[in-house]
Amino acid sequence: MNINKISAITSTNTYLKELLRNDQSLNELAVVAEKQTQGRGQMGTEWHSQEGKSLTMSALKRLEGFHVENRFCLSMLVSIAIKNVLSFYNLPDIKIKWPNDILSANKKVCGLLLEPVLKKDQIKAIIIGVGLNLNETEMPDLPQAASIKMLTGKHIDIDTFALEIVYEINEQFFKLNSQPYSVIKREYLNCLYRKGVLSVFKDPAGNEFNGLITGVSNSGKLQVATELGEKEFDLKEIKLLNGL
Amino acid sequence: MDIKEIQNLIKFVAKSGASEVKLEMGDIKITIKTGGDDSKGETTYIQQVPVQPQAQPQQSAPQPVVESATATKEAVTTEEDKYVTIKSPIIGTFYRKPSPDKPAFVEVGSTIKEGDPLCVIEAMKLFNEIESEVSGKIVKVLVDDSSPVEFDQPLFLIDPS
Repeated sequence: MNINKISAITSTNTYLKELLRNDQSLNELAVVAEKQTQGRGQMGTEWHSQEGKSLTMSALKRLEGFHVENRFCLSMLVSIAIKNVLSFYNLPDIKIKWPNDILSANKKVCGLLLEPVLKKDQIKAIIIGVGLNLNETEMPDLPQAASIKMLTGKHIDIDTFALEIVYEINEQFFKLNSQPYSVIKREYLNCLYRKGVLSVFKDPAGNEFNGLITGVSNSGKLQVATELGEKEFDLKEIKLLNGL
Repeated sequence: MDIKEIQNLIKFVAKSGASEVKLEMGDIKITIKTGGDDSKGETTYIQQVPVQPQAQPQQSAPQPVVESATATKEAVTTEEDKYVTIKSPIIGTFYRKPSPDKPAFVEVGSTIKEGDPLCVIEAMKLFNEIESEVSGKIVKVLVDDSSPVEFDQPLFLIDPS
């Protein structure tokens, strides 16, 4: 996979999406931005990055014969890839917060923006946006976030780190052809934040309730054991109040 | 008026023996023509023109062309044959724009190519961009922006060309 470096860009995900739209046979490719001016988080939110300190990159992965019902596998694979790279840098207590934030020592280190491209019921490609806090020494406006430098004291070379992310994502995507999805899910659940720990949740009506995260469904819903039995929740149906 | 009602209307007109029926109800205008002179079978043509207050010129401009095309030979049997329905492949939230500050991917009347993006359906933080299976023109957008959609729910009607 080629890695392109771009000095200034609005959003690496948007950039790759437009490249793909103009060239349907575009090869797999990663783009690293030195400076991202309009980074995107979830629908409408922004991803702020400090020039030279944050990693903002996107990768295009192509898929063949991949049915949309398995879509959450992609979320799990990318989360696992990031977790593996962070482990290599000796970050403490790395967890995946459902569905795909990566935490270390209860602080958010990495956010993902995943944009699959579908035709009918097949996912033919996915654009993986990675925003990762590397060399920030302080993040005063984001008390729940931390950088690798803040957590380990080490300065990280952005280019090397980007290469490792790309390598790990490729490694993880090989699993789609070589491992049953249940194995991928087990690996994801092994590092799921607050799994099996009594936690407090809030529903959209504002009611608080206790529960234990037990797993995720195949479509990616969070499975929680509550006093009223095992329940599944969509992202909008539940908010975890403990920790982040 | 939904598709089922339109289909029933076509059947009714076909049985009645009338050669042409024009119907206007509020913002919907339907023209059904049957039994063209030289075509073997029965020719039914439906045109559904949402006449919105802010009707754009490109919506109304091409219509005479379509009309004359059907008048000559195009034997179209039913609406279902004519239009392609794009359905939601998953449960999620339907977005017509790539991001809130951007224009919609498509509008009624937009000409699209196969592979052009039509919408985004978000589910569990996966922002699924749905591509068109066909080239053609958007006839109808069936779901409002930012609303929940079910699996297999019709999203767009496209007139393939």
